[in-house]
Formats: sequence, C-alpha cells, structure tokens
Amino acid sequence: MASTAICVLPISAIGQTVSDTIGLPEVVVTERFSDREIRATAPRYILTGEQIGQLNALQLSDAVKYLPGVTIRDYGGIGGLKTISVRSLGAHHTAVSYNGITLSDQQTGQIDIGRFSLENVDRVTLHNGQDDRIFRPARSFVSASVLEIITSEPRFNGNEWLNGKVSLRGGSYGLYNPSLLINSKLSERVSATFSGEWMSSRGDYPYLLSYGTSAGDSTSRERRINSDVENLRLEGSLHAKFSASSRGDLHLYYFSSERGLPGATIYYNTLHDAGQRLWDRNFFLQGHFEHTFSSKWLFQTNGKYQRGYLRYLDPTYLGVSGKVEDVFTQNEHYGSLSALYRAFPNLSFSASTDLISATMHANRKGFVIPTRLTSHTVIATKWVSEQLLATASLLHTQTFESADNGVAGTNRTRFSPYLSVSFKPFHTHDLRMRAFYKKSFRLPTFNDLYFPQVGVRNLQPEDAEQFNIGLTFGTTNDELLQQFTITADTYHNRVENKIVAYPTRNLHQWAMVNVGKVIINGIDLSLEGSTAVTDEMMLHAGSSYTWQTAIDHTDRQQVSFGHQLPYTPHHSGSSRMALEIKQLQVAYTLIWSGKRYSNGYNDAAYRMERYADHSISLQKSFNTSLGRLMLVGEVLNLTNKNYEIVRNYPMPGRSFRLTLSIHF
Amino acid sequence: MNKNRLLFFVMLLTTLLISSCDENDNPAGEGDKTPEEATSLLILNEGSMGMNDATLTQYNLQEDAITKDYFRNKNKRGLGDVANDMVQYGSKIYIAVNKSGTVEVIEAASGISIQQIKMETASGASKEPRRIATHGGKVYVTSFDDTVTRIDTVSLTVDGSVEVGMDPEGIAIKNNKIYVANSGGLNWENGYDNTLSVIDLSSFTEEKKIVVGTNPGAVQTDSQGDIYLSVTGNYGDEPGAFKIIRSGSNTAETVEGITSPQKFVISDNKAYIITGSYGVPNSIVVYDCLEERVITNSFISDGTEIPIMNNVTVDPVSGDLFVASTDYVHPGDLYCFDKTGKMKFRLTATGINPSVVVWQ
Repeated sequence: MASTAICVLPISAIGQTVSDTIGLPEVVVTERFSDREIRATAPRYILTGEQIGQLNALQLSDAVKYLPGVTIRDYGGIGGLKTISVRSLGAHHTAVSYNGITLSDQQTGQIDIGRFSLENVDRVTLHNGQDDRIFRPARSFVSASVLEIITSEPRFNGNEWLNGKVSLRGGSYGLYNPSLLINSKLSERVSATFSGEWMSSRGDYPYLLSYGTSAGDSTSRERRINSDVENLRLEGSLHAKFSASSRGDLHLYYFSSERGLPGATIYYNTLHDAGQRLWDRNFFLQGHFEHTFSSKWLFQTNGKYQRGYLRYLDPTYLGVSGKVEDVFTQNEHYGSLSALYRAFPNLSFSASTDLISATMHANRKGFVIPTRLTSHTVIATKWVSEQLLATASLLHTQTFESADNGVAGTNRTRFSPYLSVSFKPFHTHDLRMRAFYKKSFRLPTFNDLYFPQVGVRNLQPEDAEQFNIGLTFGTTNDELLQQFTITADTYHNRVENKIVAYPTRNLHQWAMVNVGKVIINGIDLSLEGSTAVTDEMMLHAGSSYTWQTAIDHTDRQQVSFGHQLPYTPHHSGSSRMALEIKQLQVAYTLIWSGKRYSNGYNDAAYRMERYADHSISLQKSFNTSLGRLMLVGEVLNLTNKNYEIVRNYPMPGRSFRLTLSIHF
Repeated sequence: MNKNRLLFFVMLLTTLLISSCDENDNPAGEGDKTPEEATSLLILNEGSMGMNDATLTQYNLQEDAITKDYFRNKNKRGLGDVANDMVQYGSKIYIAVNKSGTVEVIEAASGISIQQIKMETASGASKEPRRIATHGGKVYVTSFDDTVTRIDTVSLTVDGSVEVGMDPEGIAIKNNKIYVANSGGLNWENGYDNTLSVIDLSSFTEEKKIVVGTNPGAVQTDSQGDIYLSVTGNYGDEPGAFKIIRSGSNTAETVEGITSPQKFVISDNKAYIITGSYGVPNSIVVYDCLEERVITNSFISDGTEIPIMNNVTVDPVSGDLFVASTDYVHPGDLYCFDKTGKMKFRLTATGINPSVVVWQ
C-alpha cells in the first residue's frame, strides 16, 4: 500500500517525461528497482521479494545483513534480539517503517527486527539519509536512515478473484513454521488480504564454548538452553480504489510471542540466568488515504493506533521475592496530513505534519507514567530533470512531555535540515554523482528519561550529522551483462551528545548522560548484476562491501579515546549468487566480517575474530493442478563456523531448512 | 564464451571480497614467563557481567613486566564471569567468581588452579559468591543466596553453610566470631537489609543480628576487636555512614566526619576508606582505629586524581597503598602510592574493574 506513494509520484521515474504520468496516478510505474537504486540522491538499497527468496533468510534481520553499511547486533538464534545500526550511528537512529508508517518503541527506542517475518514481504528498502520521495509523512523525515518494509499488495490476473500461498517450513532444532496468505477481490474497487503465520523452534542448537580467546584454550561442547520461541502473526488488509483520483487502505497487524532469553554463555555455569523469559504482544491498525485534486495538488492522510505489551520474568533472581517480573505496556496514537504541489513540471513542493501521542505503563514500583506528545512538521522541495535531481527539506520537531505521578522530562525543539543532489554528466551513460547532507537527532527514550534511578529528565536529544558523496553507474542490455549496477559512497558522520549509561558513584548507580562523541568515516560499495549464461541459464549476483572507522571521541582521559566502537568491524561485506536453470534455482550467500572488539578499548583481550557464514539453497518449482508448487532446501552456515556477533551469544552452527509452498 | 562470461562475473564480485579480507591477524599473544622466585603482584580484575572477562594481571616488580590474563595463560581457560574477591591464604589463593558460581583455588607460586569449587544453588544456578575471609584452616565465602559457605583448605571442598541475612557482602573474622554485612542489595526495591550477622566460629551457627544501618557493605576489625562497617545507604534520603561496633557492644555508632564511605581496608589498625560522591574524584580517608580519629581526609598527597576508585589494598610491610580505578566499562588502572601518599607507579588498563592485589 505504501507503494502507492511511488505510483503517484511520477518524478521518481526520471526515465519518463513528467507529463506522461501526471494525471494518471493509478498507473504503476514499471521502473526497475535497480534503477531506483542508482538514481537516488542518497544511498538506497532495495531487496525485492525475488532477491529475498535467494538470501536464505527467515527473518527480516537475515535479509538486511546483506546490505552495505549495516551492522546487525544479533544475539543468536531465532528468538535472540536483533537490532540494526546503519553506518555506526546506533540502532536508535534507524527508523523501521511498515507500509509507509514508522513503527515505534518509545521505551527502548529500538526495534527488534528479528520479529518481522519475510513471508508476506514484497520488498525491503534501506534509505540512508532520506528518500527522494517528498510526498510522505513528516515522521519519515526524522531519522538518520529508514528501513522500509513493504508487504505484498493483492494482484489479480484477468477474472481471478482469489489467490494466495500456503507454505510449510521445517528445520533443525524443532523449527516449525506454517503460513497462509490469501488475497481476495471483494469487488472491482476493493480487495482484501489475510496473512497468518505460526513459528516455533526449540532453538537448542549446539555450540562450542571456548574458555579463552587464544589457540589451545579449553573448550566444551554445549547446547543452548532456554532458547525456545513461539510466534504467532496475524495480518489483514483492505485496499480500496474509491475513484480514479482517490484510494486508501487499512492494515491490521497482530504479533504475539513467547521466548526464552538464554542469556550470555557464562563460563562454568551456562544455567545461570538461563531461566529468563519474555512475552511480547504487538498490535497496530493503520490507515492510509490519498486523493488527487488536480494535476498540481495531491493530498494524503495517515493514521495509526499501536499497542505494545512486554512481560519479562526472571524466575531465578536471588532477591527475597525470588524473581523479577516486569510488565510494560505502550500505547501510541498517530496522525498525519501531507500535501504535494507540483508548481512546475520540474519542481514540486510538499508539506506534511504529524502528531504522535505515546504513553507507557509499568507494573513496578517507582515507575512514572510518561506521555510524550510529539509534533513533526516538514516542508520539502524537489527538482527533477534528466540531468539533475535535487531535494531539500526542513523538519521541525517539538515534544511535550508529561508524567502522571512524577516529574516530566524537558520539552525539546529541534530543526533538522536535509539537502541532496544527484547529477548525471553524460547523456549516453547512466553515470551519476550524488551527495547528501543530513542533520538529525534521536529523542531520549522513556527508559532514558524515566527508568527509576537511571533515567535523567533533562537529557538532551542525541545529535547525528551525515555527509555523503557517491557515484552510481548502471547498464542495461549490455552485450556481456543484461543488467549491471554499481554504487560507491563515502561518508563522514558525527554523533554528539550521545546518550550513554554512566556510573555516577559506583556500580549500582548509573545514570543516562549526554557525553558520547563519535566520528565515523566509511565507504560503502555495492555491485549487482544479471547475465544470461545460456539461453536457459540466468545468473544473478550481488556483492557489498563496507569499510568504516567509528572512533570514540568522548573523553581524552578515557582509554577508549581514539579507539573503534565495540562490535564495529573495519571491514565487512556480503555476496550472493543465484543460478536459475529453468525451474531450478541454486543460490549461494555469504556474510563475512573482519575482526571487531567487544570493548571500546581495543585490546587483544577483547578482540573477536573474523568470520564468514556461507549458506546454500536449492529451489525447484513444479506446475501442478493445485497451482505452482515450490520446494526449497537450505543449508545454513555450511561450514559449521562457530562464531559470535555479540560476545558470549553464540550463533547457530550448520542447520537445515525445508520449505514447501503452493501458490494458488 | 559463456564460460568466460561466468568467470568474469564471478571474478568481478569476489575481487573486493578477497582484497578486503586481507587483515593483519596476529593472535593475542603475550609472554607468560615470570622468573621463579620473582616478587610479583597479582591484580584481580573483576570483569563485567555477562562478558566472562574476569582476569588476573601479574606485575613483576623487579622486571617492571606486566602479564595480562595471567590466570588464562596458566590454566588455558578464563577465570569466568565477575570475580568479586581474591584472598591469599597459606600457599593458595582463593577467588570468588560470582556469576560463574565458582571458587577457584590456585597455587600462589605457580598460578595453577588446583581446584574449582562449585558454588551452586539446588537449581544449578550460581549462589553468586561475593567476598572471602579466612581463619583456622577454613575459607568463608558470602553468597547472594543469603549464605556463608565454609571451605576446608585441606580437602578443598565445602564443609558447611549457614544462612544469614539478605545478600551478604563483607565478611570479617575476629575473636572466634564471623561478622557478615547483610546488604539486601538485590531487594533494593522493597527495602535493603540493615543488619550484621554474628556467627559463632566453632558451632558455625548464626548467634544474632545487630542493626547497623541501611545497606551495609564492607566489614573489617581492628586489633582490639572493634568492628568497622561502611553502610552505603539507599542512594536517596538515607545517606551512607562509617560505623563502629566496639568490642563487646551490640550497637553500631556512626563515626563522624566520614561521608559516603565505600570499600575500605584496615591494616596495622589504620582504616583506609574510599569516599566520594558523583562528579568529584574519590579520596581516601585514613582513620586511626586505636586513637579513633581521622588522620587525613585525603591520603593522596601529590595531586593525583582518581575519579572512581574500585578498591584499595595495603602492603602490610611497606605500607604502600594500591588503589584500583575504574569506569566500569573500560579497563581500569592500578596505582601504587607510598605511605606518604605519593605515587610510585601506575599500571594502565590492567583489566575491567581492577580490585584487590595479592603478593606472589
């Protein structure tokens, strides 16, 4: 449904003349995704459903790992927390949006992207900086980068009124994952989808516990304890075309999960902390409506209600109560109005204003009930011509903090400017130079402000600044390659007033403070192409590489000054290759990372060795009377590499998955 | 032709990969040779939770050589997760490893572990051993499961356990009694403990509890049998205090003039007390236990500033003071001051949360 924004924005399709599509907002611009990647003024990486199918990915986090500049903090296993940091700015600076509307967690400020299934996902896009589409809700202009999830829209051929997919997946460590997708055309104007999925896994994978980081240190064979997970996802949507000039949709999402938190693998006592559990329920209802008043004026409105429930239990706590139990609930109401004005064929303006009201409740003593009202207002402009694409925007943010039974945090006002440009010097070659500048911030979370004894009410937002220059190049229908794109970007980022927990007096007394300062320099490269090896054999391949330094500039007195941030490799990358031979497909994927350090002081003692994780899959389609039947077999972590992304949270070794699905 | 296309393509995509993997990859290696009979210090680095990074650092005083990760070098395995205390007793060193649920017994001369004593609850989780005291061939360990465990130093096995108050911290032994500070630290939400357990050494049973003040931490005794405690308070309306229970008395009195005391140690009847509050560098107050007066509010006399002190150890012979600094996140330093408070040397980045020192 969020792709509607693409459809009505002819200016995304530079290849076509602007007037071609004006007045025909329903026409889906059949521009290839790879073209969007190279035309963007700011790095934009798209994984289409087809590509995701070649990635041996079960969860969103598995797929996003292939994108340049991305660091996934993965605590291992299906249930382990997975957060995304783009270009070392930290998870709080990456927004995750679902069908065009930003998801939020006001308590922690970060989204567990392991929670999202890929079963009904049409495509995933990572926008560094900002999207070139200016006709969007103000909230999508806020963050330093946006990970955009777009679910499949119902599509029907001819007189078809019902289609869908049933699939069953099974795999190592008790993975059981049935799912169902149904699309139905209710009338000429209205269609509906339902998507449901169950996933459970024991997750008790074996690993090698090393009692030291040097060769020759003792090891023991262990099995992950308390790593089980059970997820239920239910989604439904309605898509309506009210008239030739207006359309809208409604989307309902429910996710419920129970999982064990296996904890760090404590030497000599892997049972310790291994009884903790987490229950998680998320619900949202979101709607989108847009209307074209004239060839010059477009309007859209978006709204959402979101509810989150989180229960945490530690049944082995040694305190008097013998347990720790926390229940947090969050509620968010969201509304947005946006307008686009196409002043001239090349020049358009947009304005958008959003209002968000968020509240959190906690069951424990000493917690206040905070409410944050946030307004975002943005004005933006965009120039588009054959040779030049440029956008500029200015976002204003105002927060109003209040708290029942407690002192409220300080209200904040911020302006966030953004500028981007892409220039194509030659008519004959699709070579572009691009640059962007963005100043953004992330607000202190409810935990940062209000967590008993830790939260600090007058905490400032954390500031981020990004500079990027890059080159993109693409060819199509070349003699050698059917399609080929390359993007190369170099960036300089700064994070100031970084919010970190800081000991105030002793180990028991921490507080959030704005002390951190980080300077980041990096290069992101991506290559992608397809070639017909023979008439019946297609090869698709992609590769990405990131080099980055993310240096702690907080305090000269600290030993970590001038050192690389923890868990940030200097070198990392990925490769993927898929060979299609008629109805058979063989895919190979690789994710690798250079050495990292688990401590901000980059001493050998905290060093984490490099790793490479290879996976392969074999996919075969059959046309049957029931529909198209697909069988996929995957071998993950082929070399059974024992590695950790987060210290003492081992990743699974070699494992297997088998998926049978029928598209009807 | 088709083969060439394929080859070209594969090469193109892997070039970057190969060139970028070319990193310097020396394994962490440091010399672990220490001359026999050498006079060394062993520094305990507590590590941080969930990181398995408790370590020992050996410092050879004669050669000015530092060996990080000494325990692992000697034993081919790490110490474990959060090592809270280390005590030398006879020819052995005892280390309480909190989350790992172990007491490591190592031979002091060689650093070789001769026993790993499990400290586990019935469910198999760690008892969370915390602090150690020694007496009469036995080692006594407080644990957060509200117990004191007795370990026999000959058999190196647990030979008794006694229940005390909530989340015991400091432990001291004097005049046939064991004194244990019950902090209640894990029960902070519903109220700390405020008692000192008095355990009879011979019967190994708790005799009584003395009310000492909210959230007591460290306990020490002087030669007269007076008991000293640092009481931490609740970090809110109840401030910390330095307390004394005079020999034979059942009441704790506040020692005036010492604010926000933290860990402390008594050596030669002088208490060296870490004090301090947020934003101000910590200082060491020296208190004369016999004369019952503060000798100095600021032991360090050469202007050295240490923002957060994690622990203090006294060399009983020379009177040198070893102060471990920390920021709880990055490796901290060990400072050595002579008895006049002038810095003799500083070892930087010994490990995460450096703490006590023993001699080797």
